[in-house]
Formats: sequence, C-alpha cells, structure tokens
Amino acid sequence: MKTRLPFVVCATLALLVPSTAVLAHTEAGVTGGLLSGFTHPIYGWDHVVAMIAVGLWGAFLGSPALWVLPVTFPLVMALGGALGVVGVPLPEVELFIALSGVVLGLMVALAVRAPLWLAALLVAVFAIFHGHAHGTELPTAANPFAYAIGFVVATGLLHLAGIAFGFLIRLPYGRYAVQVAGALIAVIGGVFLFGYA
Amino acid sequence: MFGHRVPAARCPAFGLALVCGMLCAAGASGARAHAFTAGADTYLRFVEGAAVPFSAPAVALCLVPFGLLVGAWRRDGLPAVWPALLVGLGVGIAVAPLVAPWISFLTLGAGALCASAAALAWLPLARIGMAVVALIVGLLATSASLEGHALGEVPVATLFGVFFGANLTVALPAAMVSSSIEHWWPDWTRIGWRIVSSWSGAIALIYLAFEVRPLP
Repeated sequence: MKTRLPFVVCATLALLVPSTAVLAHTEAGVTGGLLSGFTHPIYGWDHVVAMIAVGLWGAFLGSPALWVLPVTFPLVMALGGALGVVGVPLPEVELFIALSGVVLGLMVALAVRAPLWLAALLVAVFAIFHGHAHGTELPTAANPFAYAIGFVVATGLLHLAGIAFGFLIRLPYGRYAVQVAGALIAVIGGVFLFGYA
Repeated sequence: MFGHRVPAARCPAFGLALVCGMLCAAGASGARAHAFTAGADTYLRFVEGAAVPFSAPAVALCLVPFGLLVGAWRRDGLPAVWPALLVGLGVGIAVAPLVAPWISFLTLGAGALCASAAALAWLPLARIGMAVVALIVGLLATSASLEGHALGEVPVATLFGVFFGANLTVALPAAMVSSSIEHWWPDWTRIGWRIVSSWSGAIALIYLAFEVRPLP
C-alpha cells in the first residue's frame, strides 16, 4: 500500500500536462504573473519535450539520477534565465534547445546508461539554454515573484510528468513504451532542429 | 496519553516557571488582551513587523531555503543552530541602518545557495559550520527587513514582530521537513523536499535577476 503512493501522485501530476488552461478567475497582478509564468514553459513544444525527457531519463536511470536530474535542471535553468533577464548573450540558443530534445530523446530511446556526472552535466548544459530563452522572452506587467513561482513550478511538473511516465519501465513491456516515448521526443526535437516547426 | 509523566529532571524547572507565572499574575494590572482597544496599536505594529519576512520576497527567499536546509540536515537541525540564528537576527537589527537596497542581492544569493545545498544533498557541514550559516542568514534577514531604518526609528513592537516573523519563516519549513521525513516514507519524502528546495532556489535566482533588471 505504501509503495503505491508515489505512483498515484505522479500519475495525477501527469494528468496536468494535457489539460487546458483554467481561466475562470484570471486577473492581473499576482494571478496574472503566476499564470504568465506557469504557461511560459508549457507553450513551447521544444521546451516541453526536453523537460519531459529529463524526467523520463531520470526514471530510466533510477536512483540517484531519478532526483539528481530533475533537481539539477530547474536550478541551472534559473541561472540561464537570470543570464537572459540581465542581457548576457549566449550563442545558438534555439539550436541547443532543439538539440536537447534530440539528444535527451535518443538517450531514453536507446536506453543509454550514462554515468551520473555525465547525465547531470548534459542536462545542466541544455538547461542553461532553455533558461536563457525564457529569460529573454519576458511578459509585460507581470508580478515578478508570482511569475518566477509559476515558471519554476510548471517546469518541475513537466519533469514529474516525465518521471511518472518513466515508472512504466517497472511494468511488463513498459520499458518499450518509455523508449518509444523517447524516440518521439527525439523526432519532435529533430523537427525543430531542421526548421520544420 | 495515560501514564505520561513529566520527566523528573524537568520538574524543578516546571515548578519555577509556575511560581514565576503566579508572581507575574499577582503584580499585573488588569489583562485586556481581548478588549480590542487597549494595546491595539502595539499589536498592529507587532503584526506589521511579523508580516515583513513573509511578504518581502527577498527576505522570505532567504529564510525558507535555510529552513529547508536545516530541516534536511539532521533531525534536530534547527534547535542545534537556533542560538546562532537568534544572534544573527539581533545583529541584523543593529546593522540595518547601514544597509541599502543592495542587501536584497545578498539575501537572494544566500537563499539560492542554501536551496542548492539542500537540493543536491550537500550537507556535510559540522554543527559549527551550520551555525555560521544560521548567523549569516539571520543577519541578512533582519537587516534586509529593516533596510536603512535607524535604530530608534522603528517601534519596539515592530522589531519584535520582525524577529518573531523571521523565526517563524525558518521554523515552519524546518519542522515540516524533519517531521515528514521522520514520520512518512523517508526516501521518497527526502526526494520530495529536495525537489521543493531546487524549486525555491530557482525562484530565488529568477527573482534576483528581476531585481537587477525589472520586468518591462
């Protein structure tokens, strides 16, 4: 009974990914900032697939990668976001974002068991570019504190959705489902990389 | 709870506290805590001060990650370093007149570092090391809360409020972390708190960037 709780929590969080935005009480100020920050990472498919891939790969590699990768990504992404906000330029940001989907998707699809330090380094490098892109595309008139909370929570939930889906590897044939998901992510990354989207 | 007894060693302290309380009650004037008039200004000032560490993002994003850090550090993490935190909070009140808005960069930076340490399980610090961290965090928190105010400028009740609010902002996350790890599934709960820590660190970093360059 006890061991089922994480699965239930992660499955519930995974349901949040395909849901549409709830706008019943949209307001400016704090609510607007929270909503703006929350939707920012979700509206870009190149970002979404890469963040889900981080969770998938973490679940695939098992502990401690299970928590090291999803913990590393938001921290380093925030650093990249801060660089973007203050105007520090980075080269080929869009290229690296698309490449992240391809590389991380292939890691999952090919079931690559990279050492923890290498996996964390790879995720951290890509996270810098994702954060930078978000940092340079800021909304206007949003509450900065609420925006930051919404932005980080949305990113984290995408990782958790990936981890939740990644837990399928514990089921018969679930491993193949996860690898197919990785391949799909790589294809979507490729679509962005070669300029079809 | 049947059969629960106060440990023998604590009985003298309990008796002393009881006697002191009775003596205070005997010498006190009429208590009007709920009369809604007497002392209302003082209470409002206290509440105003207590709200500062919660409502100022630059202060909350320093204290909450520190609470997460000491809660994850060890079971009695906060009690072990609380004296240092109290000293830091006191020194912060004293140095508040000397600081300017740049203090928020330091509070947010310290918060991001504490959150990163808690998230990545960098907790090898000995008690003395964590006490130094507590001292610095306390100093930054109250000096940022009272930024630029001269020593006699802020009412004493407000100062007490800031002091109380800062302690509460650390104690709540610390207690939630340590008690949940102790009572629920330790491995999963630890992972959950590491994720929360990384999120709080990320929020601190992004907010720090907005302090440098505000949203358009």
